[in-house]
Amino acid sequence: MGDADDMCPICRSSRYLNPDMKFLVNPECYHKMCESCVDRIFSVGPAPCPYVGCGKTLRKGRFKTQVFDDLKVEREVDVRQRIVKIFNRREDAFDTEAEYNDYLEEIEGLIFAIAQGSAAEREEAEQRVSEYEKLHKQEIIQNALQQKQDDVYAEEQAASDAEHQRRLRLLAIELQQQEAELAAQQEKETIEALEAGKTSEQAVREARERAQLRAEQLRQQFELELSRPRRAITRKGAAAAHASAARTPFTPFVGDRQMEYLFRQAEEYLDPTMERANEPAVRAGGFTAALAQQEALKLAFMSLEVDIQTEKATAIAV
Amino acid sequence: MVTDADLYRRSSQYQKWSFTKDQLAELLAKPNRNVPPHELALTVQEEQQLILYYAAEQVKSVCQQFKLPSQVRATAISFFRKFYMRYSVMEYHPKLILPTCVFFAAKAENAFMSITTFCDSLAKTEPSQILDLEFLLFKTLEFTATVHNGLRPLHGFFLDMQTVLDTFDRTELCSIHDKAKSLIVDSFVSDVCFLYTPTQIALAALMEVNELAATQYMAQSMDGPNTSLDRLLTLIHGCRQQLVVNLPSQEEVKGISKKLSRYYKDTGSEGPATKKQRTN
Repeated sequence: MGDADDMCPICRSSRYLNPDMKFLVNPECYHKMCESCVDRIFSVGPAPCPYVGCGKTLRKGRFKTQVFDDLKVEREVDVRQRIVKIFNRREDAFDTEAEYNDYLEEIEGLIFAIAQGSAAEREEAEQRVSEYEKLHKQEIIQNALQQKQDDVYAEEQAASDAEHQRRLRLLAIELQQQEAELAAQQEKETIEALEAGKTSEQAVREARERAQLRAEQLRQQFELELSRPRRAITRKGAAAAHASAARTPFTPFVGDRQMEYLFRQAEEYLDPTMERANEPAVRAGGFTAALAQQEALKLAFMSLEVDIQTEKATAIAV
Repeated sequence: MVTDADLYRRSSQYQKWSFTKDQLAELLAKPNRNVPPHELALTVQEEQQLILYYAAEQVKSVCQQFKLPSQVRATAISFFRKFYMRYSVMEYHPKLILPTCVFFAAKAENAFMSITTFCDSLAKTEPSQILDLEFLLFKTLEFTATVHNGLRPLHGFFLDMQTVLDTFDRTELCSIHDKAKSLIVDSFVSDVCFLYTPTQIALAALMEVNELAATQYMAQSMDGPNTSLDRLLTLIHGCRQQLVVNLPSQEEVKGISKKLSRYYKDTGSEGPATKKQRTN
């Protein structure tokens, strides 16, 4: 930052003297001045901008910190915020997407005219905005209200999703602990049964059966929780379905591929080409011998049935 | 349902480079007819002998010199033979097309080396000669660079035999595999690459090495409601008969080579590399 950026053009005090100095701008004319100047000049009431040749009347309440370095950007953002609050019709209020897009385009045109257009254009656009505001007062308020409700609803949805995930995690931990306890108990019961004089095989079997039953119950409980429907989005159901269809990954031939093969892949083969398959450097990239072997097996049977001599004889000669 | 066989039928190897025997014979003879008649012109048989020799011996020695894997060798030979289905050796001399094929095949099979390393180690080759011919080669191949050979299927069968054939112990299967592999590598020059599929070539090689094991394996794994073992066996038998190629002797090749250089001298073409590309 140069010196000019760190010095207030009105009172000439610089950041060197006052490290806490803050610069403010007013959306009326975007002339920069320091906080103490704003206090000094505008505390009493509205006053003209102290810049030479500006002369716009400014109010203290509307001064704000500048967010963007570039004043053009700062200005456009302000204009956009103002316009979008007025032109706030929602997408579902339109019959077709094209109409909605036209509406958005119109808004952009207005914003551009106000933020960057010539004086005449700006004037015209401002007039259109105020006309629109007058005509649609009721609608604007309603739309704003609905938007607020939707935001709240989305927040709730996210919170409930997170809560569901948390419950599932807790349940999984609990399940793990109980399974460990069960194993210990099974061992204890076996010993007790042996003391009571049952034959060892019988005792072990009984204890195991009991333990399996209990583990099964626990698991069912977990699965129930897992499948419990979360609060579904009903209002946006159609839109959500549409979005999920778009997110389904592409599958060649819509997944209509050969499922049965003439071979059955074994777990392990004697395969000299896979000697290095267990080295960390090879495994790091996701390589496994089984995948490569499956590929080789598929390739082996791939073109078995293809009889070039008869198939090409009936085809058009090359 | 789209079966794996259908997928193979969509490959460029099947669509562009698989032929019946008659079609192949016609393709091999055609370039010779395009050359204007000349007293020193080579016959179709002589041309084929020369191509076979270059494809087998020269490609092998170049690949060995650069320690290239047999995948590259298979692809290079395939490129070389496909090129001479469109052009005659009297139009482009094999001694230049051959290194181009090897260089391009190395790229196609992911075993790339730079053109300067390649040419430095080969006598009488300039980078510009090879690079000039490279595009012509690719165009002649109709821009299909993928070549499926019998080695991957053989690997698959080697694995599957371990589960299907329990009467053979694994070391024996290993030796069968190794012999079949060298047989397939030798058969890269043969016509079977254009007449049969990689799977059938692999099975034919296994058949040639150990008929008992191969027949037993096929009977146990490929006899099902959807497959006809008899039909497969006749297919493999046909492939097996053409698998082994008799290479021409040194003297024959020398004679043909001399004739070819006399032809080039006599017709006054200064060398294959400067020849204008035929547009077709």
